[in-house]
Amino acid sequence: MAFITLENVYKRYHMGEVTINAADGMTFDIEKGEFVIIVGPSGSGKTTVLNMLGGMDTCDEGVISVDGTRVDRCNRKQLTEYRRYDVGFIFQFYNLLPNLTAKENVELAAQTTKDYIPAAEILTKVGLGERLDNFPAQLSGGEQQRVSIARALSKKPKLLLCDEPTGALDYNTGKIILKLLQDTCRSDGMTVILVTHNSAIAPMADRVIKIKNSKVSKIIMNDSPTPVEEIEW
Amino acid sequence: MKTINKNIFREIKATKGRYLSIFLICAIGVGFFSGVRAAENVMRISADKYYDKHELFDLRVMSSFGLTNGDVEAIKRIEDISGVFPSKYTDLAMFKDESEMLTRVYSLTGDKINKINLIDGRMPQAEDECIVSYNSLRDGAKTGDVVRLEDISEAEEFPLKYKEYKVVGLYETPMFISLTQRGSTNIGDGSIDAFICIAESNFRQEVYTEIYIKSDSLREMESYSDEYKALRDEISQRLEEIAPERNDLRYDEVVADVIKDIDDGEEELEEAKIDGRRELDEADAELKNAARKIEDGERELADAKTKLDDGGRQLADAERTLEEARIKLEDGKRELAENKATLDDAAKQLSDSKTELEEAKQQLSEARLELDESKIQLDKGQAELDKNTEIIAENRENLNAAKEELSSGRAEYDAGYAQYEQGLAEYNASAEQFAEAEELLLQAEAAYGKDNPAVIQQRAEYEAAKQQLEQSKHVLDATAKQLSEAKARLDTAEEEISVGEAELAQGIAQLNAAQKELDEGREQYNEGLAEYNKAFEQYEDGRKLYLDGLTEYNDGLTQFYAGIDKMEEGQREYEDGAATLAEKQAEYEEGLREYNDGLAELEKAKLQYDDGLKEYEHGVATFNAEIADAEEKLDDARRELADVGKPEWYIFTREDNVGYAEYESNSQRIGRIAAIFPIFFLLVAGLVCLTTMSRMVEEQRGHIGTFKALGYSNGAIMKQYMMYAVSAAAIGGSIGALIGCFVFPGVIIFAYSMMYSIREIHFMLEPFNILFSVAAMTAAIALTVFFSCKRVLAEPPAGLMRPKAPKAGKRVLIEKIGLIWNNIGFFGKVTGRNLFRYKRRMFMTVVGIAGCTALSLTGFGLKDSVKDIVNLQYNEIYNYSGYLALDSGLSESELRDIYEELEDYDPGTLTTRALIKQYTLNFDDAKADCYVTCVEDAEIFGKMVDMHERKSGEKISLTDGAVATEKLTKLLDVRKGDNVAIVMDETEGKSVTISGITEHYASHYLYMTEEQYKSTFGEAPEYNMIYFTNEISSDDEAQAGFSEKMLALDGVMAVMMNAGASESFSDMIKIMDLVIVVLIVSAGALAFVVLYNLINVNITERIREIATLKVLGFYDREVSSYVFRENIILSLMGSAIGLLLGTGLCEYVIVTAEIDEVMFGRNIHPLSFLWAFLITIGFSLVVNQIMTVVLKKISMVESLKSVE
Repeated sequence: MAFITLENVYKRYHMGEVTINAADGMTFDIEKGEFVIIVGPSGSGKTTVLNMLGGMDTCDEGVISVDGTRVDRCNRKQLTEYRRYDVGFIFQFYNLLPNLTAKENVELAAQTTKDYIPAAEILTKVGLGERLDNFPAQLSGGEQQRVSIARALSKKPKLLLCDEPTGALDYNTGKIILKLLQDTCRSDGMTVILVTHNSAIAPMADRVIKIKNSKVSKIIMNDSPTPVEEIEW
Repeated sequence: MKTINKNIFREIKATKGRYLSIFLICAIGVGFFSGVRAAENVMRISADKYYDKHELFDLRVMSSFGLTNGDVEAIKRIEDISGVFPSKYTDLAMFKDESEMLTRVYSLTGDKINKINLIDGRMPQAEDECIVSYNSLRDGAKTGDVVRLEDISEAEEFPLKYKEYKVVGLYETPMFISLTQRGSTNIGDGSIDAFICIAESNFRQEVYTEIYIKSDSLREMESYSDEYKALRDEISQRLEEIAPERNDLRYDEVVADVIKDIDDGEEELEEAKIDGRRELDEADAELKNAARKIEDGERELADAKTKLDDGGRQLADAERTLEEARIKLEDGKRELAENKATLDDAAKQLSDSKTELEEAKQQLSEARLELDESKIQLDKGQAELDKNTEIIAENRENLNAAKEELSSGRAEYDAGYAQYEQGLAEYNASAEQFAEAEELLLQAEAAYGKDNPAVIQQRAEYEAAKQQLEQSKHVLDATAKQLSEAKARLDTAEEEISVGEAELAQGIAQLNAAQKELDEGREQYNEGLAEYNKAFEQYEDGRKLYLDGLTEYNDGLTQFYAGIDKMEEGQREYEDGAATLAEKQAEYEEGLREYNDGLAELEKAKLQYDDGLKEYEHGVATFNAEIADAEEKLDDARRELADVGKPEWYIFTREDNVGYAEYESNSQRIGRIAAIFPIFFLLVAGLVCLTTMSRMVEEQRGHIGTFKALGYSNGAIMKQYMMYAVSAAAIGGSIGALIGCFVFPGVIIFAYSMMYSIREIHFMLEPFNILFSVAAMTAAIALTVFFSCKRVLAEPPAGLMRPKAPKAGKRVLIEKIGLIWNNIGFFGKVTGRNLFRYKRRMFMTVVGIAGCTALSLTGFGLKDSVKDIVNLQYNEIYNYSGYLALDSGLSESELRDIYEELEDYDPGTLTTRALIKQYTLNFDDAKADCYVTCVEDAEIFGKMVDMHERKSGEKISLTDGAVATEKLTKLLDVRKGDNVAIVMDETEGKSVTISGITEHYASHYLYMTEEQYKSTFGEAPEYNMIYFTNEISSDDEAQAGFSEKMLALDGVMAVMMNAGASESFSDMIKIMDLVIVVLIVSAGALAFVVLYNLINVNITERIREIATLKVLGFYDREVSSYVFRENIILSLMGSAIGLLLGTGLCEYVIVTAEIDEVMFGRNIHPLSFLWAFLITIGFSLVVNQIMTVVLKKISMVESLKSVE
């Protein structure tokens, strides 16, 4: 069985009389250590999939299994624990706590688990060894996103979920971030799932899942992914 | 509807919690503000309506000369005066059963003025019917009772027609709205307990006591308003203006009357003098005539008396003669009787001696016979004696023979015995030898053996010897036996001989005795014979005497009969004399009676004369006295006329009535509470709303940017938020104001209605207050929105649509203190930094919470201080057990009995007497009623009432000057050493120096010693109370039993126990509790809403942060503690500051809210601090709990995508 399995997953939103299917019977597998890009236009349901995978949202129907854990069957507390120990999140707008320094933001996450990478170490690894005691407001967007990545990595998650991590960044900075993510995947064997509407970066992935109208329209396996440096968009 | 407006409604719907909390905070804040502020006016208006309804007078005129109809007419002519109502009153003691009440008796004045409120029964119709004031706080007379009125002043004449009145109804008078203070009087203990109304015709006085004045112009105005006071003073001035004229008129009227009276008096006196003299002279002549007549009568009587005395003397002589005759007659009679008795005795003696003689004769013959017989017996005895002498002689011979025989027997025996002894000695010698032989034998046998022939022979010899020996022994024994037998016989014979001898001796003795007897018998016989002969001789003598006596007797008898005849003749003569005397006697007595009658008549005439004389003299004296009296009176009248002062008018307003003025100050007090307390309330509420709105605008910058980008004008965008905020504030505030304007004044007036008869509440919406508070609230919010929006709108739309650069994280001050910072843990650091990052938010929250805590603490503190009144007053300051109210005019013995009874109950009882009387004190313009208390023994009193300064705790001893209670000095604004005036009546005052100020809570007292009282009032105190301290338990039964016992004593009017007073006071003070509960509940409600709102805002603002934490896998518990740790710290800080703030606020409120009659405690109890603190923290925890649910519901997806 695959590391991550989605099978006929449905997610419906009821807006008064209207029912919207945000996930309409999605099915796909992801193997451990893969760099996966989920791509699709706005409102196609890609963020919904990511949220369900990350335990931030629940599905109405279907099976979601991550490393043998039936996420679809988790209760509230189990979901919290799942997020706590197994998942790392990276958002478009970083979601750092503005009142904590870079180091403290990382510690905030690290302290919830027993097995973690010390904040200073992981921040040095993402290239912020000099900015440990800076507050988010004192950092650039790329730097903030790197703090966010460090925060996600510090708790040694099973998978890293990234929601448009470069959406608010300029081209070069975006590239650096993507490189950092790809390197993390390659060197640490981390499973990375990245959601984006920018299909241009799809070649860098091991697996590309295309979503359209809340359905998986196409899954492309890429045996030789292109390094980020070589991709242009 | 425009879309943008739709958006507003959607927004409200989406943020119900926030909208509602703004709405509620505004409602509570404005409601409290406008409600409590309205209370003062509602109280005043309700009172004004009450006064108007009951036609309460506006002004009242009294005069030292009384008032007349002329005065009434004159007053009627004054401008602005529309009603003038003369009335009379007098102060009396009213008795119902045993209870005494000082009562002011009013004349009924009808419906047009001071309209009474009949609570029960009907109005008086008959003259002897009355209605009595009703007091819900006290038991008084009831409809159907009969009350007795008594004058306890020293007036000469009872001022009313009747002393007893039937109660036909109970009423309330608008003149005295206070249920406890009914004004003062100069009788009894000085404090009026009740009023009654009776028909005016009951009053004996002709002039009016006072005139009530009403003004329609004043009626239009509000009673407590300045406008009213100004016009009233103006009218008062007009009255003052006509006063001199009226006074002159009145003076002339009174003086003219007096002068006329004097002239009339003089004339009358002259006439009376003349008439009196004439009458007296006539009486004198009559008296003299009578005296002459009496003299004549006396002379006549004297003549008659002489005659009568002569007759009497004659009569007495005759009587004496007759008496003598009678005595003689009696003597004769007695003599005769005596003779008769002598004769009878003699006759009897004679017959007796005759009998005796005969008896003697017989005796004599009998004695002769006896004598002869004894002679014969004597001879016979002699013969027998001789025979016995012979027998004795024979016996003696026999005996001697036996004696001889015996002595020969004895000789024989002695010989036999000697032989025997010899035999015995021989035998013994043989036996010895034999024993030796046996020994030898045995030796031989042993030496030679038994079988040795020599030995055998020897043995045979031995045996033979032995046998011989035994034989001789035998003979010896037989001899011995014979000897002893002979001995026995000899002894027997000897014994017999001695017996015989004894018998012989006896026989001789008997013989001798018989001889002697015989000799005696003979002698007797001879004597008897001699006697007999002598007796016979006597008998013969007797016989001769008897015959002589008989002859004598017969002679006596003849003489006796002759005496009787003589005596009978004398008797006859005597009786004739007696009859004559009786006739004469009757005649004399007749004469005497006539004389006595005459005498009696004369006495009567004399008596009449004396009476007449006395009457005459009395008449003269009376005449003189009356004339002198009348002259004196005339002199007095002339002097008085010279002395009489000018009459003076006293003009009073409603404010001179304690209850009326007190009600105003009570309403002002509420007003003063309303001035600060609700503003604080409003401020807290406003502040919280501002925070809420300003943050809402901040939050909505994205929307604002969108609208702006869509091309909406700044005004249109701002309108949305204005609508949101203003609608919440305005609608909430208005609704709050509407509710508050009814609830708060309602509760407050309800509380005061327990002390005042004003019960009808005239609610009013005070547009100013409502508008002001609603407008203030709304404007504040609108301004907030305006400025917040303006700042936001200043940014370009693009900037707005981007999330606002989060406020930069900053190091806070405490991070520099490594010791603390390194030790508070990661979350501690986060919390610390969060707290200080948003200083404004922190400040707002702390202020909001502090405000609520302060308001709660004020409520609790108020409650404490009210409770302290009872605690401190009755448990700490009053140490006495109670006091007795004494009857006026208590006698010494009654007082002694009371002391004894107290001592009897507990020998350790401490007592001191006191005089307590209510007076009004005056200092500058301030006035206050108090009890002037003069104590007999200041030292003992010091043990009963703890006098000390409150702040320093320094003891105060009662010496010179007067010690005033603390609140009294506050009311008068006097200090130690000032002189205050004790108002005696409306014209005069006495001055006394304040020498100490003592801690005291209930009522006002001015204590002084007896000496001080004397020097102040110039008279000795008439004590009317006894304070006592004993060991009585506070148990109800014990207290009641004691009271009953004391009340049973004469002279004890009332018993007031400290324990009971404490209870009833605490009942009364409960009024305040209600007001306080309102404060606490309001403060609590505000605290809750404020906390809810602040936390709600806090959460909304940090929703992304919270969602992030959730995404990071924080447990719910961790998330809430991350948020609430701050809240709890803020709550703690807020309540700590609130406690400080509350202490000050409470002190201010206590000082302003105090009722004049009492001083509130000044301390907030530690428990109240705890409660205020706990309530705030408790609410904070409850709100946190509610928010935990809200936090749980926060959706990560929704929260985080909002800026996408």
